[in-house]
Amino acid sequence: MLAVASGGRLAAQGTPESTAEYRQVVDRLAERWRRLVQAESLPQIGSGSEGLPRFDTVRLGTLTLLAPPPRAELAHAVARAAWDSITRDFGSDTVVLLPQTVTIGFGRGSRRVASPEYQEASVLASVLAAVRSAEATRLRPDSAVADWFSSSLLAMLFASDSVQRSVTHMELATKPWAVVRACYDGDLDACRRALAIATTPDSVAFRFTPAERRHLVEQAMQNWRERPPGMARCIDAAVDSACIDLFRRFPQYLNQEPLSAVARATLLRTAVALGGAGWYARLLSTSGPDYLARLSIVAGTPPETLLAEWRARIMSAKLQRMTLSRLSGWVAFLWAAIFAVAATRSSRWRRD
Amino acid sequence: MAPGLRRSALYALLACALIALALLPPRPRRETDERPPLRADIRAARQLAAATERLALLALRDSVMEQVRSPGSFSPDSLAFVVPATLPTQVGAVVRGLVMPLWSGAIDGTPRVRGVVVIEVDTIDVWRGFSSGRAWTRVSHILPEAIDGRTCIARIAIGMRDARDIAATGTLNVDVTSEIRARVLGTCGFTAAFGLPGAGIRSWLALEAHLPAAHASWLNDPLAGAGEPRYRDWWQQDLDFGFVGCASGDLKRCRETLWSPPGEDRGSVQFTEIDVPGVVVGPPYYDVRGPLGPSAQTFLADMVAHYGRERFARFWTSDAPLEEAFESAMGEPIAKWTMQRARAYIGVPDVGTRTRAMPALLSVLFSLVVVGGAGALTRLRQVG
Repeated sequence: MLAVASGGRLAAQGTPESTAEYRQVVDRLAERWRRLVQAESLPQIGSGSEGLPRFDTVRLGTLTLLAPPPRAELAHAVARAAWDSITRDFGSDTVVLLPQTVTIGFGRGSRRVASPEYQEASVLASVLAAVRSAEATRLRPDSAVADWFSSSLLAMLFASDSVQRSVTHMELATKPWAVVRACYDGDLDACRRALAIATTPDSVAFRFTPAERRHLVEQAMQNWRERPPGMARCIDAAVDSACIDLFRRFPQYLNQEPLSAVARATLLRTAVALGGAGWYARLLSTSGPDYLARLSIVAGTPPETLLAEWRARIMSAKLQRMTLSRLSGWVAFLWAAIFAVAATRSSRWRRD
Repeated sequence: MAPGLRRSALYALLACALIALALLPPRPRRETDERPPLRADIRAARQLAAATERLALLALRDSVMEQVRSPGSFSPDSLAFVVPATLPTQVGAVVRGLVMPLWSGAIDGTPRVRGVVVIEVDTIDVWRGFSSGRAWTRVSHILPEAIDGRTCIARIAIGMRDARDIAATGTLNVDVTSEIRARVLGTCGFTAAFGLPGAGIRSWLALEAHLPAAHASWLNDPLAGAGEPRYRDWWQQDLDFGFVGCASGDLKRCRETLWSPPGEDRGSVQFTEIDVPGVVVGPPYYDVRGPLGPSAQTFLADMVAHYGRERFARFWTSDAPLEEAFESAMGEPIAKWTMQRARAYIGVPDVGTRTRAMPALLSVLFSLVVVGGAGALTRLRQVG
């Protein structure tokens, strides 16, 4: 290990480390890591002509699956299903996906033998997770994307559309913030603010009313051991500038978006639906903090049209209703009957 | 006593003796032995990540030095700031306003080395320690020995989320402020104030990953305060066994804590083989369970506050080994100072296998009452 890491560089003790020399150390470590990964994922069940373990390769589009011979059949089945799913998610954009190599393991470590269907589903899930995770990592350095979505953009995008639209409809109908209510009533500018998508120098003053700011400060800071300076002016004296100042000084505790990340995911999904083929390539080609402008490019429509379409889709979503199943009704009735019978019987310990 | 009862008592005594043999005296838990070794590929991946980070710091050094060498760009006796274009220009002014008083407070007169503070946005979320999803602000240092002997670079890597807040509000939030304040100067601050460290101190600092020099501000002497020790109740819960032993008065333990590498987070791996002399990659956070205790990062700053600048400078620049350098500058063994300092933070812990008089007396009394009561009851129930 030491030889790999330090080869040659410790010779010049006392002189500053050269970047070029250290880069060679890093290259050697990277090479060593690659070899170890290969050795770990491909255990020695039989060696090829060059002493390397044998494995089958299955290629479909940008996806490459490596599998040991006993699992080659599984790899073929999974590759087809995985590629179907990927093309469903990304459409013609599969061409811009990162090339992805996934190694199917030997299933070591588990004492139980899983059914073939379970094995296939499990391997398929891990292949899809590897592809999405690679793309999510690619999007992560994009600070606007990372900021706007609190969790993985792609995971949200591929989750159930109807559920997300119902949740967003519920949020629009029940969230207490003024901008959300205005958005519900059809004010598209309010929707822009509620989705926290507007590029503005002062998002604090933009998203909430003075009374809401006071409420947020009180809610977030009431249990603090030491009241920060300005809190009394904000809450007791209702001085809005003091509240805004607190928002600027403690954004990590106070700043929040009126609507959740699920609502924001529905906006992206609307843009994808409007834009059609090539949406992912267009998303990757845009940059900058003005996320609405970027989504407009993805959708191929002006921002107002995108917002109007988003709102229409959300308002048309059905709210999930609570319904009582027949079985639950009978069970409830049975319990009520048991309690009624028990209540009418006299206790054996009763004296009179 | 009936034969059956006698046998039971004998068995009980034997069992007690076995337990005593197995467990006395109590020994510290050996966590390193319990931890399974890392898989080779995972270890290699972590080592590669650590080396890549060091490489990035070396590249940063080259780029900064290119700017430093261009005429008129930096004044040799002041602190320079490099702010990326992606952050608003006022951020540089805000950070300068925060760091400059610390720099001036640490340095008495002309700085011994030139300081450069580079602010960057961290693209890796090293540690998501907060529910709000923000990452810690990390500060790394490139010391003069890795540059030109006259320049020291501090790199502040602000988490992406904080950087966006800063860009939106134009101010630093309280968390970033306190994290920068606690770490920005580090060994660079000591070097600017007292000159290049001697060979003995340098090798000791390398062993300790420069943690004892992380906080270069020495306004308060913890040993001078007569108040309640700050971490009095912590020792029973989650502190290093050696540190607690040192505070209890065991000087051998104190020496051991001085020569133990910092704990960092449990499960992390130290890669001394890829370390670059003079490149200090700042930990994302301080581990209170390290061998130098919950305030390990103020170890040297506490020393300056306690002994004064002049004596500390003699210790700092001495080429002698650590313990010898300390004793010749301060006139007492470093183990003793380490013990006094540990006590200033956690008080004198009550440790060991000693039995205290009152609980022992109460145990005997309780046993007598139970045995006497049982005997009396047996007599009462005799028939005939």
